[in-house]
Amino acid sequence: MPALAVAHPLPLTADAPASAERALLEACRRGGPGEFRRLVERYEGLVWGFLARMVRDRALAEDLSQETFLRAYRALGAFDPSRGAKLSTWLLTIARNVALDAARRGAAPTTELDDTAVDAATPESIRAARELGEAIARAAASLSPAHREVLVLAEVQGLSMDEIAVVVAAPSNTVKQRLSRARERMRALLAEWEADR
Amino acid sequence: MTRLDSWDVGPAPPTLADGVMARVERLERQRRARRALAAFAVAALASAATVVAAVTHGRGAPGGDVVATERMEIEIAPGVLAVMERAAHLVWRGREVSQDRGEVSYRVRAGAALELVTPTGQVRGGASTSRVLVEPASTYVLVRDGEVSVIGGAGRVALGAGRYARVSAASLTVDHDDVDGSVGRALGVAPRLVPSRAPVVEPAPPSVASARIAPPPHRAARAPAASSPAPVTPPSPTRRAPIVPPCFCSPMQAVCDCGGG
Repeated sequence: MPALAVAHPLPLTADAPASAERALLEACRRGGPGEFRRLVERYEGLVWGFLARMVRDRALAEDLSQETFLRAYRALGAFDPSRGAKLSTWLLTIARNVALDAARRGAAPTTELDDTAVDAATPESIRAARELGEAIARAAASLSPAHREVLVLAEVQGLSMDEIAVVVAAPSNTVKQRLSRARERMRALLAEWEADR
Repeated sequence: MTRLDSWDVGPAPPTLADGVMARVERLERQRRARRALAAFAVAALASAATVVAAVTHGRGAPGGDVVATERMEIEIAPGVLAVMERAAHLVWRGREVSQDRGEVSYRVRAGAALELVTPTGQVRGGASTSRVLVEPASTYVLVRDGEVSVIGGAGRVALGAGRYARVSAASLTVDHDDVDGSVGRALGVAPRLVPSRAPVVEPAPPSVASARIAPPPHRAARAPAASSPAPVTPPSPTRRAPIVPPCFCSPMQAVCDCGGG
């Protein structure tokens, strides 16, 4: 039975020093749109990585990522890092809300992510990795949104339980329960996939 | 071992940041347009309020309250221009003007009228040019052109061009009674360099002694101070000041030739 493990969370951002986040935020507030581009470029991987795994549609994920940053731009003045909030956590909270709004509007994924498509012409190891990635994506897609988001935030983005609790606006115990069930479900689905190979 | 990082979604699309910035620019344009619209709406409302006030009061200029931080000119009513010196304070509404401190020159065009209230008196005039200096206990008036009425608790006097007067709570001193020159000095006028035809001081009309410009008691008690010239006792309506011959003065002369005087 395959075990779930993460070699490392997505690079940078989530662990960016608070002082650097604060300096970037201040620059955005003072400098306007020009400085905001720096913030976008720094955190686009984080937001994209979350949303792409949540909606599994490249075009939709890009649109939702843009919407996330636009909402952040509008609300820059309201974010207060002195209360201990992290910019990355704040952005992921907005991204989650954007994804929920899209789900309410019925914005369903239309195409599969290109990167997880299996290309028969690639070498065996790469092909195997892509097949595994596609299997994980399919398994994650079968989870409920509440389970999928905590799985992505914990296992891919590397957020702590407390940070996830902030993003999903739920108690830490609830987050732990959801994560535990999401892991169990993923193990079961991936075990089935391996058995079928 | 199944590793979740195999769940690769690739890097963020290269167009993502450009797309965000395009939307941010669009948002900024909308904000600018909304701000411009709001500013336009405020200006339109202010204009409408001005028109409504003018129509409601039927007096042209709606009113204002200004403390001059430097020399400034304001048309406080149609045909009435006030040149305020620094620190002067004017409040006006229609033709009614109140000056409670500082120095202001008024130019009133033909057909217009000035109705000025100061803490110690009133100044009224048609086409004229006059200078009014308001101090805590006195109002000084110098007429440069036309005719102006100065009204105070002690009487009223019509001043022609070149005449001046001081009105305080209990006295009205015109130029020919300015024996110590204190009024002329306050206005920057040589006491003797004035036409000598004495203006007539008449009792103040009852309305002038109304509460609006009635002096507070402590001012009335202080008015006959030693430094001030003796207050003018309001003459009876039939009494006229003596007519003296005109003076002929030259700026180069130390004294004026005032005929028999």
